[in-house]
This record gives sequence, structure tokens and C-alpha cells, in this order.
Amino acid sequence: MQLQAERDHFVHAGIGGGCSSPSSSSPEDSVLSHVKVKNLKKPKKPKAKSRDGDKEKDVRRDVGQLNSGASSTTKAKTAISPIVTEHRALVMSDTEAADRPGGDLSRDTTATATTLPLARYIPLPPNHPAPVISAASAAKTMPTAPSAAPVSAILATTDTFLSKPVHMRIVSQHKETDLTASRQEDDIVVIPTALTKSRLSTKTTSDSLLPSATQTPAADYFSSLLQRTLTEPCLPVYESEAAASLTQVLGCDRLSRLPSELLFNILCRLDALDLSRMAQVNKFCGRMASDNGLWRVKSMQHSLYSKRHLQGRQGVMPWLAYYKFLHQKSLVVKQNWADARPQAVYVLEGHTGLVSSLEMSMWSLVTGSIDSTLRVWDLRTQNCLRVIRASQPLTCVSHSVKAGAACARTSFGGLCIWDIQTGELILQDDTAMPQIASFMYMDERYIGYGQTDGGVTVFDWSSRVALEVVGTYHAHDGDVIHISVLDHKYVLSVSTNGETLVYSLKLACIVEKILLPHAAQAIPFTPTIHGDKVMFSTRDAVYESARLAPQTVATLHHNNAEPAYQSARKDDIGSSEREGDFRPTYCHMRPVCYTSTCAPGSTSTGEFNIESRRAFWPPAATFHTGRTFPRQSVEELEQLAIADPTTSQHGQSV
Amino acid sequence: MPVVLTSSDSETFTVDKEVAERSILIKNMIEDVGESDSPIPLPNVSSAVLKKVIEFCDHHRNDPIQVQDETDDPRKRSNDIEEWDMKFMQVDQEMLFEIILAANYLDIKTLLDVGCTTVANLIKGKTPEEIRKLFNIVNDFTPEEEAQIKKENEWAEDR
Repeated sequence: MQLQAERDHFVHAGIGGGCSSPSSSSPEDSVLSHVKVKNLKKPKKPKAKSRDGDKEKDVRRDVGQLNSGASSTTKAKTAISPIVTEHRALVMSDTEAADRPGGDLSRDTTATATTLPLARYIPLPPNHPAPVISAASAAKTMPTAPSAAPVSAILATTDTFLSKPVHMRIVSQHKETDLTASRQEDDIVVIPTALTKSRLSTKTTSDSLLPSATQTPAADYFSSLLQRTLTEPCLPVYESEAAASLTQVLGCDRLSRLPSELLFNILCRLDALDLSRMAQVNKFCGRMASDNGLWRVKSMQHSLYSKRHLQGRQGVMPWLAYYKFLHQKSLVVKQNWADARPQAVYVLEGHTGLVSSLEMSMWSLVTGSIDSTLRVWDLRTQNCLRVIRASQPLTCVSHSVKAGAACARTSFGGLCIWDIQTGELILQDDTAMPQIASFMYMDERYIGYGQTDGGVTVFDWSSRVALEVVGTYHAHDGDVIHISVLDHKYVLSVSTNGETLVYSLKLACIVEKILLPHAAQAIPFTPTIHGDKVMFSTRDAVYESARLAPQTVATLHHNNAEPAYQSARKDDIGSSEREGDFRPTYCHMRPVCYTSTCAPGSTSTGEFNIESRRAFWPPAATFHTGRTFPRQSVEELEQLAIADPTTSQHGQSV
Repeated sequence: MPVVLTSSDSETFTVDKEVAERSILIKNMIEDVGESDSPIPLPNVSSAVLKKVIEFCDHHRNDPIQVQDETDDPRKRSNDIEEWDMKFMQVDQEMLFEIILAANYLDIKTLLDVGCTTVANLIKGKTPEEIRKLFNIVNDFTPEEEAQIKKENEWAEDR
């Protein structure tokens, strides 16, 4: 017995736990969980026998709760409250029903004798046909919550009550007892009660208002049961009833009747397009589909999600806005991949260690590897033209065709410069590059050195004997992913946090700062200087800076001419301005063994795979996209607290 | 040792303990109560639904039990359903939702996943009007509100 009582209790705890939803946001659930708590301490039969006064109080409290609950809902409350308050005065003349519920059950159910103590709290389905059709169908469509069926039946009756406020009288109608004596003929609804297995009939008896003198513990018990069943699912129904009629609500819409954590679970499996359509279905779905927590999940599922975007952010994160930002970003990425698919892939074999860096020019490719060699390739024939052996592994390379030289950073911070034609070492400085290099630039006079900590250093190596530092600044927040020296005057550098900086070698300060919403797209471009303006191309536009002057604020000038993908020559840009048909030249990037998935270490077999700063974007012969990146993304980006670009205070002359 | 389950309409089902314990609720219950011959009442599940649930559990009786991981990576979640599960879920909508509710109540994560994914797949690719029709949902927007919300959600259509 003890054991069963425990299980009995457990079952109830299970019901409560199964259906209540702690994370719910809809009013429906707050009501549900409230009711479930009450279920847990549901008065058992012995309690029904305790002092009348106690129960009177209980009932009053219940009634109070119902009234206060109802008053928060819609117009229906006015109709329902008089009915409910009447329950206190229910006539329940039969004490036997309360005294021997076990006996009743044994006859009523097919359960075996051992289940009896359990069965007392188990709702058993109605075996009788419910006279009100809508009640029956409602009971079918309701969730399996034990009280759903009886209450929907009551709800169906309230349809009639709404028009004609009347008083309700409840009697037990059980056949084995004598309760049927008080039944009256002008009849009504038979409600299967889940909790007691006795049948309550609600009656419209306008004449029998009087609290009966024969009020008993059992009467109180049953009336409190009825009140509980009334309080339970009524409120959510009335909530939505404001817009839809009662029958509509009862007859339909399984989806919004789900506990909200289940609906959340379902919505998490939809993608953004389906969610946006769900939001247009109705108000409830709209609320659910714009839930912040939901979009948090969706954002984290997004392939472009980055924790870096959220750094330093305080307060509530607007996940939906963030997701929209990611979505727009991914549109551009998708477009780019679709338009710029590699046309041919070659595998260049020769290296015996990880290829750490590479750089291309028109027909040549220079690669550096941790196998301490630098190789020069001919892209027309895919042959290795030269192998240059260094004393240390190489981490970053660059070369200049004009100068006929290549340079590389060694893994211990040195810088070596070789002649490509002969393979001779021109210059070696073992301490020139103490920081890890993320990008190197080389032309016939300058070598630029971008660091992973955001610093940029520019050397002059034209003496061919020693390196001279001509400019250094430390103004980026992310990795420096591109450096160009323009016209011997300006250094243009791009970092992963979306900044493009123009540094004047002469003034030794930063003269221009441009925040691009898509730093990664700015990787493969060669900026040019045109008069006193800097122009450079990204995937989707050609940008032209404002007049270069110290401390100017960035302005983005959108040129909607055909977007440039790769390096645009100075003359081309000049002509584009004049004639309005700008044809960028694609002199660098060729479709050669590009892969974006190659992780460091996977190329140790000597197979040449490209794992480099440039491998992120596929090369393209031509790049057409009618899409321009929406301007607002810049603001959104800033709003998302991506590191505020540092100004030029680090600039110093040498 | 077999376990006896009683549905809400007091039909009894005798299943293997291994099968019944796919449900965390029943598993915990058996652990708490210990070995006992008395049936386990499932007052939230009707016999028709319980039959389906047992069928599912029986088919998946040998699957490794998924550990409940609080730090469940949402990226890993996939919308793929096994073929058997897909066939299993080819029931009317009424039953589908009943199964989901029962899976939630009985705490059978795999069944809940399959059920929710099935509903999600029903919704996928449908217009708002089609979704309304599918679930019999009443449109409670005014035309102005509807136009407004349509505008708000245009961003996702752009792909």
C-alpha cells in the first residue's frame, strides 16, 4: 500500500512535470502550470472528511482565484463568474459517494483490484456518449491532460450560459448511489469527471439557488473539483476567444495548443524562411516565431555565426536583428560562391611539408613551406621553376616579378630575400620580423609586414644590403590580411575586423579609415591610388576614398559599375570614371587548386594544397553580381559592437 | 521481466522492461518503486497512442540511449528521419500530435525528436495560407496588420 501511495504521488508529479513549461512565454502556460501545482496537493479522500470550515475556505479561495483569473481575460468572465460562485452552494446530498469511492470504482472500471488506490487519481475516459456534440469532439481534439475533456464539455455549455446567465447545480449522477434522485429533466450535459469517476451533471435550474441545508463534506469536495476543472483550461480558451469564436477555438488549431516548449522545439527545426512565414500565420504564431530565444538558437546554427561579433556586448542581445545581419552576409557569400566557382583545379606536388603561404602574380606562383623550401611555379605549365632552400621553415612569403625577387619570413623571426632567377640569397636579417606575420607585401622597393596582432611595418630594401624601417603603426584590431604600398606614399592595410586604413609614409599618420562590412571580401584586391584618392575594389563594389588628408572621416562612395573582383589597374579605374564602363583586369587570381577547406597539417604528404590567407575566396574569371551590399549593414555591424576601430595615435615617423 | 502499463482508457499493455524503459518517466518510476507486479498507470496516454509508442520503443529497443546533454549543440541537430520512423509517423495529424504529447510526457527523447521533426517537415516550404489550412488556424490579423507583418518578414524571402 505504502509503495503504491508513493507511486501514486509520483504519477501526479509526473503529470505536473510533463505538462508545465518553465520556459513558456504565453499566458496559456502560466495558467497551466499554476493548475498543475494545485493538482499536486489535490485533496485526497480523507481530507474531504475534515472540518467543513476548512473546506469552505478552500472553496472560497478557489472561487477567488477563478474570479481573479477570469477577470484578467475577456468578456466571457462576466458570464462565467456568477456560475462559479454558485458552486459553493452546491447540493450534494450523498455522502456515500465520497465515503466509498473505491467501491464505486471497482464497479465502474475494469481495473483490477490491485490498481484501485492508483486508479482513484487516474482519469478514465468517458464510456458514455456525451450528449453535446461539440463537447465530444472537443474532448477528442484536446490534449491528453486529464481535465481537458470535462472542461471542454463545460465550455460547450457555457455557450448557452453566455446568452442566458443562469445558476448551476451539480449533482452526482452515479447510478450505484441514490444521487439521481435530484436529477431533473430539462437536461443538459453529462460531464465525465476525470478525477472522481463520478458523473456530474450541470443543470440550468434557475429556481434552486439556495444553498442546501444538506451541504456535506462531499458536496464541498465535488464543488471544489468542478471549480478546479473549470479554472483549468478555461482561461487560455478565453484568451484566444477574443478574436475567434468559441467553436472555432475548440474545433481547431492543434498547433497552438501544444505546450510552448514543444512548439519551440518544432520551430527550432525550421529555417528562417519557414519561420518568417509562420510569423504571418496568426498572432500567436507570430509571437512564437519572433521569440528571442528561438533566434538565438537559429543564430548559433548559422554558418557565419561568430562569437567575436558578440564580444563586449552588454544587455539583451537582439538575436533576430543579429540573425538578419548574418542572413544578409550569407547571401553575399552564397552569391559569390555561385558566381565564382573554380573552373579548374590543379594539384602541384613537390613540397614535403605544410604549405604555409603563397602568393601569385600573373603567371607565377611562389609558395613557402615548413619544409624550409620556397618554390616558384609557372602557372601556365604547372611546373616547378625553382626550389630555393632556406635554413629554417618559412611561414610567410611574398614576391615581386618586377624586382625578380622573393622574400619570406622564417619561423624564428628572420627575413630572407632571394633572387628568383638565380636562387641567390640577396639579403638576410634574422631579427627583422619578431611577430608572427599574417601578410607580406613586396615590390621592388618596399616590403610590408602585417602582423597577427594588428601591427604593420614597412621596410625599404632598395639598398639590397640592409633593411630600413620607413613606417610602422599599430592601429588594427584584427589580423592584418592585406598590405599595399601605393605610389611610394601611402600604405593601405586591411584587417579582419573590417577596417581599411590608409597610412601616409610622409606624414607618418593614418589619413583614411574605412570600415567595410565585409572585411573578408576585401582580401583579394589590389588598391590603386588615383590623384589624391585611394580606390580599391571588393567583391561587390569599387570604393573610392575621400580626399586623403590626416584624420578624415571615412566616406564610402558606392560605384555601381560592374563590380571588380580582382586587382584593378590605375588606368582602368581612370577610364571607368570617364566612360562609365569599368572593366577590371583579372591579372592575379587564376583558378588554381584553390580550396577553402584545407586545414593546416593536412598537406604534410607533399601534395600541394593551398592553405593560405587567400584561399578563403575562390578565384573568378569574371564576377558579376547585381547585388550591392546594403548600406545599413555597416550600422548594424557597429551596433553589434564589433571592435571600435582604433584611430591613428600609434602612427609615428621614423 | 515484463512491465504492465495501463492507458488512460484502462487498457493494459504488457511489454518488456527494456522496451518500457525507453521512456525515462517509466524508467525512473520503476527505479523509484522497485520491482513490482502492479501495472503502471499512464493517465495521459490513450490506448491507441500507447500502442504506437510501444511500437516505436520496440523497434528502437537496441538503440544506444542518448545521454541527456544540457549543452546540446544546436548545430548538430539535423532534420533527417530514418525511413522506418518516417513510415511510422505517417498517421493523421490528430495522432501525430497525440504521439508528440505522449512522448513529451513519457520523456522519450528520440520519439519527441522524430515527432517534432515530422511537424516541422509538414510546415516546411509552405506559405502562411497553406500553414493555416494545414493546421486549421484562424487568421486573426487585420488586413493592415497582415500587410505590416508581411513587410517585416520580407527579408527572409530574399535568397
